Amino acid sequence: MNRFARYLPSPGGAASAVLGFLILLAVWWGTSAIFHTRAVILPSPPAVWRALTEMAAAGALGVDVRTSLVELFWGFLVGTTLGLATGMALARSRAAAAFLEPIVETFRFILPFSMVPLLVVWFGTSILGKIFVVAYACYFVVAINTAAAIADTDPLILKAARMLGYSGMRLLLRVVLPAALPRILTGLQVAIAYAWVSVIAAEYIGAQAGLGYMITNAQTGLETDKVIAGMVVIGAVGLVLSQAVALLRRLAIPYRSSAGW
Amino acid sequence: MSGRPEKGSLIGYRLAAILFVLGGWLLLSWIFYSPRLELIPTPWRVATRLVELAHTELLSDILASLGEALGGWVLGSILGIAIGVLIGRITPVRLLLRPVIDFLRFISPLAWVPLAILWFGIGYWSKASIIVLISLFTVVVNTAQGVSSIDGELVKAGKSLHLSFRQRLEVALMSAMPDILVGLRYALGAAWGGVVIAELVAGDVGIGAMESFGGQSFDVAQIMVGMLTLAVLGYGANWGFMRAQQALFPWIVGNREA
Repeated sequence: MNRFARYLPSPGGAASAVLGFLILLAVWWGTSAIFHTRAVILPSPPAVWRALTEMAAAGALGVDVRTSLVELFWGFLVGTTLGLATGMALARSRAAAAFLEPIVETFRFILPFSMVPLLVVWFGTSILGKIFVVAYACYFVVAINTAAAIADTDPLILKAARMLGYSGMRLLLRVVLPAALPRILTGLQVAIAYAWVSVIAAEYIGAQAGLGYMITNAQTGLETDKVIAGMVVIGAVGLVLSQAVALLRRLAIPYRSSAGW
Repeated sequence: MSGRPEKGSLIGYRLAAILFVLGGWLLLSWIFYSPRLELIPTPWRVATRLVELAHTELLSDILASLGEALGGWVLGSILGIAIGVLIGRITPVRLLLRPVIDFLRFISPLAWVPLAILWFGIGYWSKASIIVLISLFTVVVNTAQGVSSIDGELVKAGKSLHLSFRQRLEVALMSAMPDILVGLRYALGAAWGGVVIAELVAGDVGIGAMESFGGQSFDVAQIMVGMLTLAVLGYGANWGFMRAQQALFPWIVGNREA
């Protein structure tokens, strides 16, 4: 058995996930073929494929994917920008840290998903509420990781840089941030996953388009084939997003690779 | 964040932070004041709503959410530890199951909510099953990681001492325990987000359902009571977990902050 293990894709990666999909597909196909499960409980893989291609051909799927991706983009942009700024302020200025820390430490316990009904009252079905949830979900993990990354910078590097005449903004941009980059990118990797989940969850209520809206809508109509098709699309987009951030990581810091499990 | 001395001189900034949040809240509730629709209720309005709800439905909603979160967490964690040990120690299981979990992890447990409603109907299991998934994926990965990185010397020592299966399992579990506990605690934290989303969609009881009803009647104070209740529950669960960990496994140090 260990001989085969050598040929398997490394754990945690995209290839392993694709292999897992194939294994699961076989089990799913077998179950629905042997037990003749009712379509409302477990439709067969071909039925789900038909639902997927029909939605894609009608253009509805494209609209949903685009809506979700636009919400993701703005929410992630706002959340990570504010998170990076907060993290730097927390780590670099004692006064800012004393001011921001109680706020961050209190608000990070207020769950982003618990605000969804509030945001529906405030912003209705518009994109603003979704951007808010996504940004809020990303913000804390980026802020905390950035602050920890900068605070853990080797003091010897800082001393050397100061001795060489670096200070202020130049020290931050040319020395501190590059040294903290690996851990900051770890924060971003977690944040993109949080952001994608939040998009879906925020679309469950008070939305008019998007993948989360699509699968709850299909559930209300007992269209299980569409629900599963939507879940597969959600998984595929999630896979592409995490691969994109992992690629960014490899390009930015080729000297450090992330480990599997 | 920064463990530097001279804390006393910074007390002013901390006070300023509290005043900033409270002042900002008051200011916004005055700016957006409208006699017909309370978009941002004042803090004391939220406090009175909290007292009102505490006399009626709040306790039963808290118990419902707590039951879903803890029930799903316990079941998911037990399954997660069992599967994690199998993946970590038995090669055929690892070859089959690890890719499956790598795939399923990309479909967030929260995306299962509509399917869970179709499978279980609106009730306890449509919500608890989501928490089972959240806990399962997290705990499996951490357990497998911990179990597969057991010190080889310990395994050899166990063999030479002719330990029974149960004793070897105990050695494996205990040396993987720091990793398992990190997974358990992370899952407990993530469970609350899962509970509230599942209750918002499949809303009959629970804090999410309470928020959802508040939203339908434009009762923002009720939604805010729900948000604060969930924050307190999440904080309390984390605190309780840390206390239990210190009592049960005092030899584990250094994984306090996530």
